[in-house]
Amino acid sequence: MSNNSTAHDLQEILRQQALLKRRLDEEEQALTSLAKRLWAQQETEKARLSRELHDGVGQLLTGLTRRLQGLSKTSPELDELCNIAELALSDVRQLSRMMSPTILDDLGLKPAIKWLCRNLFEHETADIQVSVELDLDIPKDISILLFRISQEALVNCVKHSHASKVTLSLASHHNVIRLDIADNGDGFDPTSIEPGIGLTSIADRAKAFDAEYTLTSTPGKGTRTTIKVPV
Amino acid sequence: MTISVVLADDHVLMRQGVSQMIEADPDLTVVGECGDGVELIDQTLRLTPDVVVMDISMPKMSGLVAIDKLLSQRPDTRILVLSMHDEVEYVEAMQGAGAKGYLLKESSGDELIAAIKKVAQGKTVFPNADTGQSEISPAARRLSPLSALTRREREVFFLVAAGNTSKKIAELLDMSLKTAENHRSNIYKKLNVSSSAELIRMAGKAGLLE
Repeated sequence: MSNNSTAHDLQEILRQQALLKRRLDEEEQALTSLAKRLWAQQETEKARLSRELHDGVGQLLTGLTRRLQGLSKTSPELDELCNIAELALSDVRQLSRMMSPTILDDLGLKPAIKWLCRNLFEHETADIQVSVELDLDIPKDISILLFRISQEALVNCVKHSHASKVTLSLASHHNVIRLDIADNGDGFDPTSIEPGIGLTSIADRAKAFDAEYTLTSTPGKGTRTTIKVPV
Repeated sequence: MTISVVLADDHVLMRQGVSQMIEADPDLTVVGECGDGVELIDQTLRLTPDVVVMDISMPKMSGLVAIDKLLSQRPDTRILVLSMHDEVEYVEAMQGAGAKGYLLKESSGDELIAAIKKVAQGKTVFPNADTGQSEISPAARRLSPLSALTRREREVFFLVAAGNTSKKIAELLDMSLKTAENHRSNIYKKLNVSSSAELIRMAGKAGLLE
């Protein structure tokens, strides 16, 4: 065997490796773009359901509430039915808004984040501090990403953390947006739990946008979610 | 002198209804109607109305962007936003953008006419801070004591009303005793009662007991 043919073999292997690497990169790109399309589809579907809830059940309940309001003076029992109908209406509206926050389209990310925090913490004992400082235009898909991650993290915090203080800060610096959500609640051991759909979904979404996502938590010492996304 | 109005809303039925209400007042006239933000800018610059009455969620160009463009091209445009959104963030954003007024679509015709006239005179019409703070309508708040409570608190409320101790509630809802007691004291505070007996009496009065 000559040195020539070994060198030739080696070159062939290197060529094949480069080819494989390129294919892998292409596949990865295709997967990322597929993931982005899936999220977009999911948002469209949520928006459709949200409209149906609002315009369908919502309108029916509005009609019912109005009619009951008219009758409620005639008996205490009808008055009580009216209360229940009003609660149902406000729950349906809230659900519809959380499913697809039109405020994000109408007013942009900053008011939408403030709205989200106010809605989730209005009746909670925990105190939330929100700071949003963005000095660049954020593309719509990244706005949705940041809104949904905030929503997931804050809902988890309200449901499980028993925190008394929560902070959310969102700021941009040199074309990178950093979102930081921290609480002083119970915390947990991230290695001991199987991440649920919500957390997995945050991680997947972040990955599709080349964002850096970290979740740190220690039992008794609160939880912190950080995401850095390039714009 | 008649006050001229340009009206923008992508829901045709809504727009027709509002237009009819405005036209029914002898002091007001609708000089232009449109269904999106782009048309709105075009009509306003062409027809120079005294007041623009507009929705926020519109196709082609959102209301917020449209206000921005309008005011940069014709800074003295008087804009009254007519919206279905009662959240404080909407009111603040529209006020910040330079609208002169904000009115909910569920308002009566009289309220609408009065608001247009005020805005035409250069005055501002915004919901005051304490009514704009919450999405719960005053009616719902007045009618049900439960509307002030969170979903979790509602669960605890019914368990307290059924005579359960905090310890039992903690067991039933799978939470710590401290959390159950916290919920209980928050509920007392929100409903302005000082004991479970008072809470049960209140629940009975409101027809919330089985």
